[in-house]
Amino acid sequence: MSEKLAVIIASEEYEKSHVAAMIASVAAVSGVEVSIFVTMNAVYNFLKVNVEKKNFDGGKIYEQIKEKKAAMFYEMFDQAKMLGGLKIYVCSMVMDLLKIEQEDLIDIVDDNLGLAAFLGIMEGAETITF
Amino acid sequence: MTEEELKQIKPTVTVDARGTYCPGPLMELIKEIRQQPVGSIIELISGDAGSAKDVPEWLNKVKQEFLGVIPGDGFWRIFAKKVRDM
Repeated sequence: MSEKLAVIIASEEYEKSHVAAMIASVAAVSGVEVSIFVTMNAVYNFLKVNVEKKNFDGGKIYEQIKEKKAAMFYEMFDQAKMLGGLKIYVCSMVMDLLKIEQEDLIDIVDDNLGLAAFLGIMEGAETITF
Repeated sequence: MTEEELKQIKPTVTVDARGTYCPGPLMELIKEIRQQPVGSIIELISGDAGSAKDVPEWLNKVKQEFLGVIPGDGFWRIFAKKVRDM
């Protein structure tokens, strides 16, 4: 596997953010440099207001994750950031569209980025999209 | 190591990660292995079937030693040795 991994999360579906966090955190603790790009509807999952209320759009597995009190996707990202190299960027276009400021996003978000910058990060990286 | 040999091992520390879901047990092991000095043996107890395959794969990737696994009743005891700094 390449030593760089880029993960694009575009869907608001909870399970997609969850599996992205699972893959990204194991990669990050295995010496892979991981960059996450959060765009389109997925941005809603990274808003403080939605995380605090666990206001997510999820299916059957999301119901089980809540019921079994499994770690949530943002908790996995947080842990991965402590244990390995992982950065989370939010799409600046969506932030502009929705009039979102950095402080509206949960603390695990490192920065906002435009596409040219993220394309630079993706260069030579294995890329997965959710 | 054989199961008999593994049963004789006195781990430096035991991490009970039952009740966490994949990749929780692996992450718990990683937290512990980083803190322990080189030469330590870490026992990980996991209720997740994937851990028995996941943990050796990760140890191999980061060049730490996998000693073996003892399957239990609904859980697995996985033994790892820290052989280099990380």
